[in-house]
Formats: sequence, structure tokens, C-alpha cells
Amino acid sequence: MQELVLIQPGGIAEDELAQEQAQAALRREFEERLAECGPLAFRVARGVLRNSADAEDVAQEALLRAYRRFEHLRDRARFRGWLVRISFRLAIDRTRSSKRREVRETLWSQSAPRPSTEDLAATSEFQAHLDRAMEELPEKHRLVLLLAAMQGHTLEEVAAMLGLPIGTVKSRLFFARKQLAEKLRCHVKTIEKR
Amino acid sequence: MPCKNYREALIETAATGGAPSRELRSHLDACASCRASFAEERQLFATIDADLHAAVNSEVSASLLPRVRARLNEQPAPRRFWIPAWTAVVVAAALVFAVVSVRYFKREPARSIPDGGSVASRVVPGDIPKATVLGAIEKTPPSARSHFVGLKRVSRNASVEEISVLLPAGRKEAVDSWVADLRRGTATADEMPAEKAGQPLGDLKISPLGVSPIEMTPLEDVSGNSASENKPTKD
Repeated sequence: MQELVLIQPGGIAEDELAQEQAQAALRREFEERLAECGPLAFRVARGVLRNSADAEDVAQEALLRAYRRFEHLRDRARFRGWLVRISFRLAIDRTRSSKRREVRETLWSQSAPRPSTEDLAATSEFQAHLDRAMEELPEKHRLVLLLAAMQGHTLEEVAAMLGLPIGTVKSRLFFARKQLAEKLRCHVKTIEKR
Repeated sequence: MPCKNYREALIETAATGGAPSRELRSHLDACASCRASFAEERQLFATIDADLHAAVNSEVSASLLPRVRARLNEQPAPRRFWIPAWTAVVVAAALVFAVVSVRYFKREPARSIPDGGSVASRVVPGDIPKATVLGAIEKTPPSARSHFVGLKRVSRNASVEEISVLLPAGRKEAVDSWVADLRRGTATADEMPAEKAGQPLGDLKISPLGVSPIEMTPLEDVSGNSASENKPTKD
């Protein structure tokens, strides 16, 4: 005769259950912010990298990092500023590594056909100068400049996001713009003279 | 005022994007060159802003958020470490206890009495350097000073300090038994077998100095004998 054994479902330990619930709540909370802040991370990266594909990769990486460390963020109201900094930092790192890669590739492919000077001028010479001038800016000035350029961001919002006084944001923005103008002024005149 | 004096104000106004001051405006109205420069500066900043706007406000790909969500699903959920609030208090208390214990045990060997009733057994011979003995005696309390003939610190750096004590003859056994009582806890340090200062030590015996009589021999005989002994012989 077949013996029947009653198997009772094992009760999950209370702390494990609580932990799972907390993780689910954490995930929900993060996802709520994801929809709002995902584009922000992308735009910051796009402002640094000037390339949508790279910016998307960086934004994705920034959001994943933010998720991994989300529970360590005590003041959740600072999430936007925190994510902006992560994204900015990753984008800067990527620029540097891609520059190193470019140097390596240039050394290997000296014979590759290059665009003519006229082509470069025709495409976007000014933008190239602007990119270079942007890279030479101090990072704190550059971040303020990018955030202030975003649609819908007032200077007060930028200040709140970065946790800075409004006066500091204004002065950083002013010096960043002035520095850019000084570096680009001669190039504008050169381009216009052609 | 010459145009170069307005140069800085002109750039700053263009950089801030604000309206020019009354003074600058009146100069711009009068000076065509500065007006052109101002227009150029404004154009420069406008170009910079346009480029930045274009870079920063580009359309976000619709696939970004789904891709992020997919990656989030692949990720293991961040582990939450449950640390009760009182854990910090317990850890802090344990640390304080550890520090206090280490300090206590570091000091303890200096206070403790060396092993095996050796206090009285290590009787140092009388050639203790005088300065050491006097220094040690000066450090002892005045009430105990009369009982120490000499005290020498044998090892200064050792973890357990060994001290040798010079005792009056016959006091060794008494001190040994007192140390043993002290260890058992049946005696206290105040009950040190001591005699009051000024009282003579009972066990000390002073014997008179005995000198055996010397045999005296007349000097002449000695000199005579020696003369005959020392006289050279002739063969």
C-alpha cells in the first residue's frame, strides 16, 4: 500500500520575508524615479559626449549604478543631483578612454583616408572648437553649464539639484560662458573670414 | 571715454545676456564700432548656447528605459543588511571594554607580586650599588623604609618586575608567610610583618669581636737566625 506523507509548505523566515518586501519597495521606488530621471542622465551624458549612442550607454550604466547604491542614499530628495553627478563622471571617463583609444587607432592606421580641410570646415568646425573648449573647462563649471542649458531647468533648480547656493551657480555659469567665448572668439573670426 | 574702457562691460553684458547699463547703452548709441563688437559678442554667446542646447536637449531614445529595466531585472536585488539599531551600542561597549581591559592588564604586572614567595627568598648579596639602593628606598613609603635594608630592581623591562629585597637575618620566613597570606587574601598589605621604627630588631645578635692572642718572638733571635741563614758560604 502506498504511504502518503503530508508535506507542509515550509514557512519563510520572517526576516527573509521582510527583506524581500523591502527590496520590492526599493525597486518600486527606484522605478518611479527612473522614468523621471532617466532622460536627465542621458542628457548630461549627451552634453559631454556629443554622441547619442555613447550617451545612452553611459546613462544606462549610470542608472544601474544608482540602483545598486540606491539604498545607501539617505536623502532621496537628492537623487536627481546624485544621478547627474554619476552620469557626468561616467561620461567624462568615457571621453578620456575613447580619446586614448583614438590615439591608439591613429597610430595604427596612419594611412587611413582623412577628410579634407574644406570638408571639416563645411561640417562643423565651430562645433569641434566648442567641444575642445568645453573639455578644457573645469568640471564644476562644465556641469553647471550643461544643466543650465537643459530645457526646463532654471538656475534655482540647478542650484537645488547640485546642492549649491544660487550665487555659486550664477558665478560658475558666467565664468564658464566667458571662458568659452574667449577660446572661441578667434575661431569665429577665422571661420567668418573664409 | 575711449572704447577700450567699455570692452569688459560689453563682454560681461553679452555673457549674462542681460540688458546693457545706461552708460554702456549711451556709448553703444554713439559708437558704431562698439555696437558691432557687442553684436558679435552676442552672436558668439548665442551660437554657444544654441550648440549646447542642441547637444543637451536631444531626443531621448525610446529604448533607453526599457533597456535599463531589462538590465535591472538581470541584476541581483541589492542586498539589504539588517543591522539592528542596538548593534552599534553593543559594538561601542565591547570596544570600550576591550580598551579598558588592555590598559588594566598592561598595568597589572607592575602591581602584582612575583611568583612563588620569591620576595623574601631573593636575598641580594651586599654588593648592591649604593645609589640604586638609596633610590629605591626613597621611593618606598616612610613607614616601610626602616624594614628595608636594600632593594634592587632586577629587570626593569620585564613584563613582571622582579624585586629583590634585603631582609634582616631570620626575617625571611616571616615575610614568606606574609606574602603567602597576602596571596590567599587572608592578609592585607597593611599587616606587613614590621616592627615599629626605632625598636631594635630582636633577632639580630651582636657578638663581640674576638682576636686570638699573638705569639711574640724577640727581634734579635729572628735577626740572628736570619743573618746566619743569609750568610754566604765559602767552599
